[in-house]
Amino acid sequence: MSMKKNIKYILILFLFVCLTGCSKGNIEDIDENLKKIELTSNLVTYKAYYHNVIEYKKDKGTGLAHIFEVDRELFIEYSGYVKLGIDLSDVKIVTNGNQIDVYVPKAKIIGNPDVNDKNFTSENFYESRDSINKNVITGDDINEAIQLSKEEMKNMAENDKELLRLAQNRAKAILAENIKQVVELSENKYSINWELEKLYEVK
Amino acid sequence: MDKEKIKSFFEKNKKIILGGCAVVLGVGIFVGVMRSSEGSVSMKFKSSLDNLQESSDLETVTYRYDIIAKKCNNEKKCNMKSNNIKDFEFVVSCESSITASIKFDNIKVHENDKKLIVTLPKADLGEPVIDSVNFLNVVPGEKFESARKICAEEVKKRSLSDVEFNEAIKDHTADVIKNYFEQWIKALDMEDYTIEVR
Repeated sequence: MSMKKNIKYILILFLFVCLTGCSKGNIEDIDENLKKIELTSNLVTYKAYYHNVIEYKKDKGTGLAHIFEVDRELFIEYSGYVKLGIDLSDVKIVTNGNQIDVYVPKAKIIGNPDVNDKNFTSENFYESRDSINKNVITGDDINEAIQLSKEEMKNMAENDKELLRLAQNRAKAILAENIKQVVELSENKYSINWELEKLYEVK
Repeated sequence: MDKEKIKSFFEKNKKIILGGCAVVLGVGIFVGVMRSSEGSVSMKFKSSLDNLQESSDLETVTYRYDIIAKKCNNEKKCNMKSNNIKDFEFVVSCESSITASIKFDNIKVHENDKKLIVTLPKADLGEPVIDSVNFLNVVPGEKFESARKICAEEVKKRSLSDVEFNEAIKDHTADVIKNYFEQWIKALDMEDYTIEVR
């Protein structure tokens, strides 16, 4: 009888060791407070809002630990934005007789894209059903999906020549309006010629 | 006869045979679990431009901060300094940034005795941009929204009290504007003017 009991205990111990996951490290193992201050001179002329959909699929695992798992799908619908504008320090102003040539640099993406927090909610996460053995779509899975989606948004904006041209033109309009205050103070009369840096070479 | 021999063999060695089967089963389960692997992941993305919002923000200082944010299991009895993960619903490390800007449209310029006085509008701190949220513990996906909010609150709180950041906003914004108007003064042949940024 005692041999039977011993075998039972050994089995239970085996199962316990196999099936118990290891817990993650203590909070103190993580470094914090990495801070960096960046000095810039970016004039943002547009905020472009994109409607995004992510289709995330997580297959069931293989092996004994994943028995009875099912494939999972998650759809996320959210609004994100990308900022566009110019670097003001790249604006060049050169006098050419009675004409002032103002060179407006190409527009670019400014900073990193982000989600529009006003309507970003987990109510816009649509998950398929799970089974007895959970195949959980975790917070880290969603983080990865959102990061890749933001990259996609940024790529779309970077390749949208029309959008970049609009952003550059608006920069020119903002600068032109602002500089009237100074031009009026000059005793000499100048004409202002605005030159926009080309976004791409026409072949 | 053979059947009798087999039967008696089992009777004599019952304990050893059962023990052996238990060990084999245990090892089989152990190996089966250890050789388990997570399922693969695939993603598809669709994006379409929804609308364009005009802006005239001149961004001069961005504050990038990697922080740890925590949400307690019990808000009423919570020790935020605890290092025991079981005290928290989740613990995340966030990569984020917050940017200061002024409205370029609202810059006012007037002249006073060969001095160009440039008056800047008040600098605004934009909403934090959360680049990444990594969970220390495994939590379901619906916690992601809550984790983002906590990261954003924490970054905003720290940036408001960061003296170095606030000084940089004042100093660098003034430098950017001064450099810009200096180009204009030179171009307009107004080199006898000085610039004061307020």
